[in-house]
Amino acid sequence: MTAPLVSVRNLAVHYPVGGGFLKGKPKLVRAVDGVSFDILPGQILGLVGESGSGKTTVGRAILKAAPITHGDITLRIGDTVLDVGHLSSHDEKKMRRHAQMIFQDPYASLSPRMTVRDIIAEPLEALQLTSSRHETDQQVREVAEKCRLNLEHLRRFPHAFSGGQRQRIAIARALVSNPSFLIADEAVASLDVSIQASVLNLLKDLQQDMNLAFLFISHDLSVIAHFCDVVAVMYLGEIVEIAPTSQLFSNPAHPYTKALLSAIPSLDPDDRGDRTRLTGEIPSPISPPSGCRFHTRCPVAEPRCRDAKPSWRSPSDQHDVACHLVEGRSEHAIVHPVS
Amino acid sequence: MSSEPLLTVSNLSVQFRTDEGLVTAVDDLSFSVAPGQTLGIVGESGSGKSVSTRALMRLLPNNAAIAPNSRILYTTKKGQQLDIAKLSEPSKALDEIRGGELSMIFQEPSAAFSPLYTIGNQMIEGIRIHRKVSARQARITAIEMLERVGITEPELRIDQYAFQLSGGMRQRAMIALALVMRPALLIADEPTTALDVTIQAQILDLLAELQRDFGMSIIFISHDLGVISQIADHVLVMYLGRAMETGAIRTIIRNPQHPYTQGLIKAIPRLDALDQPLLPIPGDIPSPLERPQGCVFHTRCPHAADHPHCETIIPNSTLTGDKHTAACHLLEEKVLERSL
Repeated sequence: MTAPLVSVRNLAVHYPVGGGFLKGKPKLVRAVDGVSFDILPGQILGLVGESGSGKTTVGRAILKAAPITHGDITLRIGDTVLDVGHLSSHDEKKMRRHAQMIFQDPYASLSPRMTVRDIIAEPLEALQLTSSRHETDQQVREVAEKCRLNLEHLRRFPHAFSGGQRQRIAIARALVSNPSFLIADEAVASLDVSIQASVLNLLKDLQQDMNLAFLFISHDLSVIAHFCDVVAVMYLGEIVEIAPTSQLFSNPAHPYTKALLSAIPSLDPDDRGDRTRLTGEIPSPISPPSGCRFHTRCPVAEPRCRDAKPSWRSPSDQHDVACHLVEGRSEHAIVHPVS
Repeated sequence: MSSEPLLTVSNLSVQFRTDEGLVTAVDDLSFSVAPGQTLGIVGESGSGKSVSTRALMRLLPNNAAIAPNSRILYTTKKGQQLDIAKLSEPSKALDEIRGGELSMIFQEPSAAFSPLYTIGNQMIEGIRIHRKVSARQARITAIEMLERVGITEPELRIDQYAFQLSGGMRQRAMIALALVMRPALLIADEPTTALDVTIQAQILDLLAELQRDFGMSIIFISHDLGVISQIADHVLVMYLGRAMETGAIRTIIRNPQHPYTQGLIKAIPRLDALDQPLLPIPGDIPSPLERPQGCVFHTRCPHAADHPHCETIIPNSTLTGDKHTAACHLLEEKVLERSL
């Protein structure tokens, strides 16, 4: 089996909130609480969940943009394995070159004071990856062409561009350092449908050309289904189900995954009504429910769900679920890599 | 639908004066809403779906103007017919229409609630503007309405501020605020877009239920054809301020006639067609300052190249089936051929 490119083990990210002088101890927000997964080179892992599920925090922790409370994150670059929690400044530079990010809002992620050329060139300059301005320009032009940007656009400022064009600029900036791993956090969520499809197709083409691995974070299951090889479903800081995309969508096992799928509005006007509706909203991550965190909203919860944390079960090969009610082998202490 | 439409909009145009020039946001738009029915308006950004419905309530900013030949005919609860486009501002008739006849909910509940007043303050204020009742009676009505939209402990919630509620509850409170005067027409502008999919499903169920109970009409605006498909009876597809296609929801989804609607449906990632590639509509949505001549969609239309009129002449709306119209030169020709 190929060695994973990114490996996350028992990751927890806890933030203190409130507290202070005379206010007592701060409370802890358990944004991410014991998450494990692997991403293989060239693989696209989708991370889906409602707001507050911790999916963005997982992405940020991998790029050292959120504090790792405990757990390990490793990134393999060639033969070196970098421990993201304990990076030397030399290794951090290396990590920044090989792992990049695309954000949701291309109106906020691009500086209005820089030309498109300067925006795309910034990673090369910050990481000192090129030796001359000529070389930088050449790499910027190459990546801009790959991202279907017009070369005359390079001299303009971002305000002259539409949302879809801006997102292509953000993609070019992420790819200019020739990374092997990209985190896309709701990268198409703010785009119109007709534009969203073209940006997704572009990302897929680039992924195949450059053998990129992705952590693709989205709240939109339909987008995830079309883009990802493997999907992990998060709820309140934990992964509750992980499986290859076709398996997850044809055969969801966790009641939360089932509820999410049934809540997607169908394009078929006759497909209305009878669905499993979740009641209530996602609880606060400050005091998550005991046992299975989903039990307060679960339509099939039993008394044991309140008391004990479910262990991992595998209803089929490469498919792992954390639910008391799912039958299957239960030998996995952590989620195994899906190849 | 044998009864007269509740609302008939004809030739509605709205222009904005901006520093860069005159921007046409809505261009010669006509549609109608039948009593008790839901009209879905679907379109991408810049399609004018929000501006056209703001015009119905005369809630446009000062730099916007409704063109003089626009008509917004509305039949009030008392059976009186008015042209909302012609009402003077301010006027008693307009005050009665806003809230009492037409009401609106938004994507962001924070846009509907003031952070300085409790939910109860704002609901009671609304009730007492339209009805001569005591504050105590208005409070009872407000509590009943909060309970009706599924807010737990309404006696407690009524004295809270909107920011103290969760996203889903805030959306419910906004629906209560909009419906407390039992309007005949509710305009819902992307009310579920900011919500998680599970909460969206709850809110869509609630709106359908309230519509059944109150018998109101709804104009539901969304960029998401899936959401429209779940709630609408009829649909209006807009692009750059113009109507591209209108018809019954089933007809539009299963048998779209306009190239834009066809492209829009093909671009949607569908769970029942995972092996099929996504087909984007080529190009970008033009800037409102560079409105294309002729058919507004011609810069992105796959058929425009082989058709001489698309770049120069604005296509008329053609009847292509029962209550199904589309504005496209190709269809005009087809219909003409059939009739010859």
